Parts: sequence; structure tokens; C-alpha cells
Amino acid sequence: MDKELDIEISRVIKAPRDIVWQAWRDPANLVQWWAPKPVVTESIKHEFYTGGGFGTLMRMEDGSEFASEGCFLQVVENEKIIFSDALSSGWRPNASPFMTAIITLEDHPEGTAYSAQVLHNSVEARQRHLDMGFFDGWGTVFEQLDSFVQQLKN
Amino acid sequence: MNTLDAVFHALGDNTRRAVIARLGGGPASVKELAEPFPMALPSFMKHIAILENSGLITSEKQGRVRTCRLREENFALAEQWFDAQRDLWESRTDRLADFVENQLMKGKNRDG
Repeated sequence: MDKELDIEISRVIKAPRDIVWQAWRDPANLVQWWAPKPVVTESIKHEFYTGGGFGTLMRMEDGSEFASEGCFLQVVENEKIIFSDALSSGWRPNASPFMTAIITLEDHPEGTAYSAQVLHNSVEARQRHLDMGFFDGWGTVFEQLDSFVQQLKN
Repeated sequence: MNTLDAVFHALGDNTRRAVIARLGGGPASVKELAEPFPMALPSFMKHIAILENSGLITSEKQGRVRTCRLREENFALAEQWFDAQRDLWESRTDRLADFVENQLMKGKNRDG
């Protein structure tokens, strides 16, 4: 856990693990909570197994779109999901590897102890390697996220 | 143009990115910076002006030499990005919990 680069979020969800699992397993469920309204999420690829592709498209109110494609590195039913944007489906490397998310589900007296750990590559490296095309790929993402976060606040 | 737009406009060009990369190694004069590029100085100065307007670099003239340097404090965008990511995952996890408790569980109770 690197405080500068990693995010860890834990929640107790008042539902058994297999029900929480359905929220991730079924793309029709995933699109309902992945992004805040009025952003509309479309599931582009949801191969919910180890090595499968994971693609979403978020459409903002102003019509701009933010697509991301990653890969499920590990899917253990009712227990764990690991995905990363370092790879797309079938282990093919992506241009700008950036984050890995580790989702774990454990039994809890009130239901499910849910945690999401999100690991990023070095912030300093991102700042120092502007010439390596980081901003080419991520500039758009950055802007999208910025407007996205602004929308979250409103 | 807001700051972020200006920054991305500034970085949306190979010449300007190369200048930033060079200044990452320390301050340099306009003359030094212009050397690798096959363009007239006035054209190059336009790139410098765009970089300066974006807040990514600053320049000062001493005698006949204009020296450019990075404004490190404005490279904190990556950190803003990180905060945005945290917000994103916090609220995403809240929405997941809400969806499971209020949609999926209700459906389950109806079935059972």
C-alpha cells in the first residue's frame, strides 16, 4: 500500500456475497452503478473470467465519451476480482498501463465486507515523462475525468 | 480556456512536449531550446508563448538572453487526477452498495 499511489475503500454491504457478486457479474447490473447519473455507462466487453476483456464506455451529458478497456486478471466467484488497464482481453498489452484494481468480498455478520484497492503507477513518473506520450493517451482521459468529477460535485 | 485546457493544448504538440522534456533537466535559454528544431525563431517563440500561457513554464530576460524554466508547482495536475480517482472510487463503491441493497436484495425477497 503506497499512500501516494493507492486507494483503498471498504464498505459493509447488507447483502450476502453471491448477491454482491451479481452486481459485478452481470453487465446489465454493472452499468447501473459504474458511473453517476446523468452519465450513461455502456458495457462494451464483459468477459467475466480470468483473461477476459473488460470494457466500458461512459457517455457524458454533453455527448463526450470516455472509453476504457482492461482485462480481468483474476475472477474468483464470490471472492475476488482483479482487473487492470495494463492489458486488454487475451493479455494483449495496452499502450498506457495505469491502474490495477483488486476487489475482495468477505463474509461479515451484517452481510459482505467489500473492499476495493486501486493501485496506480508512479505519479512522479507521469509528471517526468511527459514526452513519453502519457498526455497523448491520457490527456483526453484527464479532461474527461475532470469534467466527470465536476459533474459529481454538482 | 481553463487551466487544464491550456495545459493540454500546450502539451498537444511534439515540439512543445520536447521543450518540456528538455526543461525537465533544468533551465535553458530560448536559443538552446530552439536549436534542435528546423523552424524560424519567431515560430519557435510562438510555442514558447503557448507554454508560458499554460503556466507550465516561465521565462525571464537578462540582457539579451531569455531563460526558460519549468513551473514545477503547476505539474501537480497528476495529483489532482489522483484525488479525482479517489472520489470516483468512493462514490462508485457507495453506488454499488446502494444498488445491491436496494435493487438486487429487493428482487431476491420478491422471488423468495
